[in-house]
Amino acid sequence: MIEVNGLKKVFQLSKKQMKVNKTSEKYKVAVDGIDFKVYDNEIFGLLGPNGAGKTTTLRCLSTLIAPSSGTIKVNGYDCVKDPLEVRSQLAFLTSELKLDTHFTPDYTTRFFGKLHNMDEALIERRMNHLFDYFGVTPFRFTKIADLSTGMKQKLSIAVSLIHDPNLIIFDEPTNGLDIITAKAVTDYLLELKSKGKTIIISTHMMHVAEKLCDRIGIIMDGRIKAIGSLGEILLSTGQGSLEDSFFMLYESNRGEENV
Amino acid sequence: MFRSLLLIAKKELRRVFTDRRLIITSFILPMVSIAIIYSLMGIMIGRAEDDIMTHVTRLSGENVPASIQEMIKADPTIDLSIESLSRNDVEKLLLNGDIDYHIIFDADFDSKILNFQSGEVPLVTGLYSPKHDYSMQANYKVSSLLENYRHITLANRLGDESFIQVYNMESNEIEIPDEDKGIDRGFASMIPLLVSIFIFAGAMGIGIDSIAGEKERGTMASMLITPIDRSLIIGGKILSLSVVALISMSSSFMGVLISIPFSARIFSSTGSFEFSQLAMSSLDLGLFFISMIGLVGMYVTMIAVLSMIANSVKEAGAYITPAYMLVMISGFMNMFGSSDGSKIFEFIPIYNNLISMNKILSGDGSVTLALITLLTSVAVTLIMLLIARGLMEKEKVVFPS
Repeated sequence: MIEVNGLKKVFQLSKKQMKVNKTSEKYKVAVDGIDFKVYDNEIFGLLGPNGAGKTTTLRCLSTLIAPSSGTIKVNGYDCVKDPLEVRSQLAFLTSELKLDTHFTPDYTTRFFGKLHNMDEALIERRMNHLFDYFGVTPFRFTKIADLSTGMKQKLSIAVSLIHDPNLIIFDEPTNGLDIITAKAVTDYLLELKSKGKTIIISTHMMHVAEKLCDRIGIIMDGRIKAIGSLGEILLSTGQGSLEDSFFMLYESNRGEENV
Repeated sequence: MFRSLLLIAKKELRRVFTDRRLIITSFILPMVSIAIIYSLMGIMIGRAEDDIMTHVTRLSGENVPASIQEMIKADPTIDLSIESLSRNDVEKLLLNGDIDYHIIFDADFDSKILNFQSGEVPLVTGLYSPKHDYSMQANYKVSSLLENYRHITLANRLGDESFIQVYNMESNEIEIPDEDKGIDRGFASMIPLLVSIFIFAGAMGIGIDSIAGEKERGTMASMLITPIDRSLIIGGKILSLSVVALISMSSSFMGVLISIPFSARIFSSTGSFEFSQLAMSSLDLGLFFISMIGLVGMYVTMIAVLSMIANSVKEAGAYITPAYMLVMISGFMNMFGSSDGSKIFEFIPIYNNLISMNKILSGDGSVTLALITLLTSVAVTLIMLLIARGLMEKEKVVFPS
């Protein structure tokens, strides 16, 4: 189980960033004290517009960055105090994490498997399974630089899942993918769930959240505006669809801002 | 922990040594270009020197006494033409390189020499162009010829050559024991500079790409989400970079060795170099290695820290260039500095490594100095490692976006 309590992340802006953002504020609150829980074997979605704080939240969960305040516990391990333990239990997938294009998928996957303390036999087994599933096998010994964008994305997923983690965090899983690759990815997430894994995704696409998520947290301006199953969110907002609920919350958030 | 460190280091080395372009640009090209450049320098400078030495000096003169004309004729490298020219014409001829030297003797030179007791000393005027090598050489030749004439004249005046010989001088080299001989002094002062620059240059390109480049491309972040201590990631990179720096330095140095048959003339203090001089005792080799490996540790960690601070390869290049300048300045200071400098210099990191290497190659290697360099190098390397480790924990540094 993942427990997020009072998570707050404040970034100090450089002069250049202040100029770009046209602000005189030296600090930007990306996530403003959010609380949520993700239960075992569910797909939890963070739904929000660009700049809402989804990616920052996921980066904190994956220990890439540290929270300014608040706590995150992954299966009882604290993200700040026990980052190695946390990282051994999760996979974090984002388009910002890249693989060295000089190597082959075979070498890269073995390398990351070894970083996860896996033995050769287990790496081989997992690699064969993942490569077969994502269709990487024919390109196993092709330089990553020579792979198509879709194949690179599939390889990134295979590499991050090599250690068979119990928790999968996926930042915008279908972003930038062609329709076939996107389908393969969402199908695989459902398959992972069927195998008992816990999955957290961030998305700004309503249909992705509706189709995949058991529970959804709608995040805007670093705050969670609604959380629950699709039915619970529709009930609490009094709307007929997730899209309507989202825009109702969005308008009310804008109203709060203007006040 | 050690396994993870080696895993990262092996991956970094694989990245370098399976990339044909990197191998060519980092190891082969420097070796070949150094060999070619130094050889060409040696050949061209040697040719220029030979040309000057064998050039027949075109000397024009006015009122040249017969006795001096005879002396000039006896020298096959001087061709004398007697002509009376205006000062302007002489200057034009010298500037154009048509003549190398013009000499004008007093019209009554011989009578003034004969009647020296009258106190009237004849004047000899020489004109040459400092712009032309042949002319400079002509000035040297004419001066020594006239000095010779002065000796003969003095001997004639005193009646015997022995009268102008005030004392006998015997200047003898003392016998230096084999273990203290060291190598040629020119090479002994140049090798530390080359070793230092080759280590830094070898580590610089690959170090920038391995750290700032990985940050920029997002491949570093992929490793940050594995259950491996971040200090091991930078540690593995530094370890592999040290190996790369040593190999790069060796290949560049090989280029120097290849060029020696041609470049010894410019680098050696005696004009030649025997490879057998490089056969050092095992103690000297050990001391040299200690001083050299200290430089590797300091340079590699310095490059790692500066590359980590930078957010892009371009930025890293800008940060590392001043450090490279410092490395070069310290190398040149050591090369052209006195061998008996202040003891304080022996405690300055980097500079003391260079002094130690210089002394070892000159046959004056000191265990104490090598140990001091080891201690200062380890201290600097550890400080840099701690800084690098600290930076790895800073999210603005490792994950700046």
